[in-house]
Amino acid sequence: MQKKEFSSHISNQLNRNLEELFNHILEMGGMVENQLDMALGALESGDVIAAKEVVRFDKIINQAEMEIDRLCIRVLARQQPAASDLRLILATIRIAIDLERMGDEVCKLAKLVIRFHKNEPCLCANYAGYAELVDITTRSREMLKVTLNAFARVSAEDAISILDQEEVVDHVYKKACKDVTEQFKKNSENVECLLEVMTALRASERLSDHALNIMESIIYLVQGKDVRNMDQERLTKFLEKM
Amino acid sequence: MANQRSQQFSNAISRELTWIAFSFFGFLVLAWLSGAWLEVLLSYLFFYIGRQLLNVYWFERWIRGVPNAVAPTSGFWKELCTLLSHKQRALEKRVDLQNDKSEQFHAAAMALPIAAISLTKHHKIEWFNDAAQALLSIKASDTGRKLETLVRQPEFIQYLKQEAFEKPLILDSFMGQPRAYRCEMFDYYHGHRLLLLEDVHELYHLAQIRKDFVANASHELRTPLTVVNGYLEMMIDMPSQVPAFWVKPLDQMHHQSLRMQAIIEDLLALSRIESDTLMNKVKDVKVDEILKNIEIDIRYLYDDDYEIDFEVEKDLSIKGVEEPLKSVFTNLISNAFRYTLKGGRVTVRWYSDISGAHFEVEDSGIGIASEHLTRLTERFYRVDTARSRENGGTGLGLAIVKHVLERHDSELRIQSQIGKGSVFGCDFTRDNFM
Repeated sequence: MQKKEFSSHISNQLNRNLEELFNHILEMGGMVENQLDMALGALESGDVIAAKEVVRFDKIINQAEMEIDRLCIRVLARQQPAASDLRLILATIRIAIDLERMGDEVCKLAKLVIRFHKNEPCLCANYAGYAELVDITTRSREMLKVTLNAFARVSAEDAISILDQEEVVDHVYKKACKDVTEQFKKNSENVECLLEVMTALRASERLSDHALNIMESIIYLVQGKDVRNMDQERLTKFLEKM
Repeated sequence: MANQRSQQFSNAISRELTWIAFSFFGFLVLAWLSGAWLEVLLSYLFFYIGRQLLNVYWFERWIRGVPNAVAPTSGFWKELCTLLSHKQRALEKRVDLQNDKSEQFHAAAMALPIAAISLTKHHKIEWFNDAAQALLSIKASDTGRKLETLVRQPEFIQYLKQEAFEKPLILDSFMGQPRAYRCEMFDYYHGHRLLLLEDVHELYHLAQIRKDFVANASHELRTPLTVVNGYLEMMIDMPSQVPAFWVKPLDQMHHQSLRMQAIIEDLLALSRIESDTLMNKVKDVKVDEILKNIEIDIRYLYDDDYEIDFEVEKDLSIKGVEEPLKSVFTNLISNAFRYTLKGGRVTVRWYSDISGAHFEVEDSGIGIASEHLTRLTERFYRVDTARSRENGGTGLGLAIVKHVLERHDSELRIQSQIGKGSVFGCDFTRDNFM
């Protein structure tokens, strides 16, 4: 599918609605990116005010998702799009859901900062798994940026790089889990903090999963092929053929 | 060359006539020899028409650019072709020149260190320079896409949407980098828009550091100074405990520490004014009442030594922030007394006319030389250092006035003549009225 198609419909209204939908998704993506940036800053500096701002921002993102749903329903009900337009609507709904989930996960990261600050103004950076947490979050942020750019350009060229990143994130996540488990065994004092780190690690790992999901939706949009259930080998082959 | 040609009648017609004359003469000779006049004349007519048609054919091929086609070389056709090729060459030259120029402009835009992006009315990307490419990570294939889809920062999208670009947008972080960027949009050339993005991190940071430093330093200095001042006052209040030798130094110390306190208060006031939160408390300010209160204080202090006039229009209010405006009026009025010798006259005016409301303080004081006027509002700038210290000025009064007035869309206006006196005034536009 090419982006030019927005101006290729006989119905002007459909053109306009699809374009609006397209812009809305990217605007919402921008919000999540911004939220993730703020959360990253808060994680690195322990800034509680920024962390609270991140949690507050989540409401706006939820509203954006509802707005996108409303737009999708309107197009479906009034214009009954087919082929690539229908795929666009479907991909849009899926991407909006993924973005909203990402917003929730980012909130979990921010809540970690807030809770650490409440318990004791300790240097959370010293905990096991914290460096990995920041690393995974940074990578997820980059993945989100690449996927949203891919959506804006309606191209699935960068899908392979996203897959590679996802593998790296999985690797880092496993290592972090191992570290944290070892810490659990060693000292029983910091169990609460370690548990928090674990939750945040899980959240940041989910971030990258959602980014991958968005990429899959984009592949569906561009190629018309559902790649969600493909195993690794077939998927790589398919992407290389593209 | 064209001029020369037009002077000698028409080259084309004279050529054609020459050609006709020669060929016709040839046919005449033929007719005279053969004696078949009519047939020869008719065949000449056919010959002439045939030649024209052939030339038309050749001309068309030549002008179309068919390979190996030759331009017609006889009669007026030759002249026509020469003129045409001249014109063609001149045009090509101009196009080359224009191309060169536009290439040059293009190269200049590319070389700009500031990121520049040209957009259509609907914010679709038209072209961008290298700096923009590096900053926004956009590709050449992105031309025609909406900029918002690739630069998704919410504040930025908001700025593009609002369609009012008088004020530049300052972004604290941009594209995931924690650096300050200044973003400005212009309309140019038939509805196109130019977006400029400049890294102002250093500048922005420096200004911030300066403001923070002044605010923090003055705040930190205030407490120790209060302690010193308190003990000094205590010592002065107990003259019996203090040796006579120390009375005068103590007095001096007290005087100086009070002055220091005043400076610190003014510095703090300045940094408060500079911070953006000030204008949040805009409300109706009853200037006439403020001036009435000031008048009471002033008359109490100076009524014996000066001729004081307050010409205040009743019920004239403006929109603004009360405290800073009060300090503007107090500063200007107390300055007038500070720089007017005893027995002088000070007039304060507050009035309105068609253009707005005006505040003025006129004195018959020592006046200011014109070379100082432009620098008067700088911090710690003094015309006569020794004198103003004696008078107890902090050197920050007019700086505060300037900043407060800037926030109220007004500015300080000064007229002064040495020995005669000065007029300090400011004007508030109608927009500031309630």
